Amino acid sequence: MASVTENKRGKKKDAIYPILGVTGLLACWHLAVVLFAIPEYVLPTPHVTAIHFFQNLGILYPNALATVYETFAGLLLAISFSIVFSVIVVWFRPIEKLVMPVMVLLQTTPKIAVAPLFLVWFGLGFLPKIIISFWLAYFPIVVNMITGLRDIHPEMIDLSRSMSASKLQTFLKVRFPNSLPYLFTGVKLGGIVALLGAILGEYVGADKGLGYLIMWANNSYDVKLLFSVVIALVLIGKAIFSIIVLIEKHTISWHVSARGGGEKFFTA
Amino acid sequence: MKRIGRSILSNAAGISNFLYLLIALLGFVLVWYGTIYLLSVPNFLLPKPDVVIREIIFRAPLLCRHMQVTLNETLLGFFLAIVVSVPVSVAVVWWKPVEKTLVPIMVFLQTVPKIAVAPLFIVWFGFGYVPKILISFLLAYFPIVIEMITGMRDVPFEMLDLAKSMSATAFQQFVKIRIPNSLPYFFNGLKLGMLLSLTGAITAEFMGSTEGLGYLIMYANVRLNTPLLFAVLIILLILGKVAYSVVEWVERAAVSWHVVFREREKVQFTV
Repeated sequence: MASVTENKRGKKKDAIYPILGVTGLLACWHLAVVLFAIPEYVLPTPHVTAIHFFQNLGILYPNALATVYETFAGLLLAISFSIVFSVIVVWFRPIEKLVMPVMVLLQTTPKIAVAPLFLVWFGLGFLPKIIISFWLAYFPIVVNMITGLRDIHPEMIDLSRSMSASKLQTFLKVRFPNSLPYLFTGVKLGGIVALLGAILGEYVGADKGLGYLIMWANNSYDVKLLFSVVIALVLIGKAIFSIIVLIEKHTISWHVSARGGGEKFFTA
Repeated sequence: MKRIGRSILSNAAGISNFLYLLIALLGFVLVWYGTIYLLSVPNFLLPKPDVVIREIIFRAPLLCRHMQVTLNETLLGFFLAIVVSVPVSVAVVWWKPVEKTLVPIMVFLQTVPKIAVAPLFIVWFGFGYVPKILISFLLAYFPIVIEMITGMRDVPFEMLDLAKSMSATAFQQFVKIRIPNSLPYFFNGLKLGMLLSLTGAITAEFMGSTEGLGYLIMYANVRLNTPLLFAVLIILLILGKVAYSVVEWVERAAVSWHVVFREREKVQFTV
């Protein structure tokens, strides 16, 4: 697992390869546009794309703000709900037995398919997008949190019991700290997925946000604007991810996982 | 990630858990009915379960036709992802420079919302099958290729030492040790890739299409035909489950010999 990402932490001189790769890609892009005389409304050259990104910042900023707001609202909602829910599930076994099979069933269904339904129920404002973000981010966070509350060395539980700790004390001092690294893994995935949810919600029906801007650019065949929005989304996605990693490093710096790397995140 | 979900899924196996699932679903349907009767929710907001079932039965030909389209797109994108990612992952593991160039870029792209480029594909390739297949491919590609690379790399070094001491060539080491070792990882990637390519096909159909289950969802949504919307959602639930189970079944047939397979159970996260 770590082996795929270990390059990131590898020697400095290895950084030359991805730089070469990206440069080569940009060069191919530019050459293809110039050689095949591809019109600008199909594929602009890299430098035109870059210039337009900066020119479009004025349009991008308010829309990005809306998307970021929806993403964070959905993500925070998902985090708080899943912490409460996973504590309940781990505390009371029968609830777990009832709820987990349903959640496992839902894992294999494309959850974005219900997005249009949320628009019917909650209108076209911020609320449906926040709920879609929440709905997508909730699952990875809750499943990780439950696993974290459960995957405990039996010795730890035995130790706390031999010191006559109450169930609540065991929960607070052993189970909860143990679950934090898992929680952060879930939140990292949830953060990416919440951004996706906000964009998708805006695709389906909105009057602001980057997803709306994408659809707008798409309908007016403004490929340059489309590229600008994609660049903005890449930057925002990276920023959200980095913020979560930063918080993780500060909160659970005592844990091995805080040293970074190793996790794989496959999202849409 | 490998540890995550094992303890949960191991609890979700067995017949008694199937019973619990039935009880939970029954309770769910009861709450569903109860809400509608108590709050007198109209059908266009939340249809009764029997209305949805009737919709599935009466609209079966329509649903089947659109399901066929979505299934074609999903499977074509999925197989394209396999066909591309296997050579790429072999090249990455075989040649160091390729690895150093490609892997950082792929790691970077992992956390990028790939759905964002979907409209671009529609601008470039129109409203037909091609953009949907390409989006399916794009989403399915990353889990498959990265799992495959991990699998070919995470070989116990004793195995390689043994092969070397028997003077196996690099090619032999590759074919006899690295490839078989990568298979369980590969199937993990396939399971996730399958779900993501279904998601990709539906999302692409949301954005611009004239057929497919994603189109049908948008069609039902615009006309406030919520019973049809629910019918499509249930079809999708079944489709996702079946697609996942088929890959799981192939996995069981192909790598049942592997020790990893027996102990590893994973919850897959999709959107």
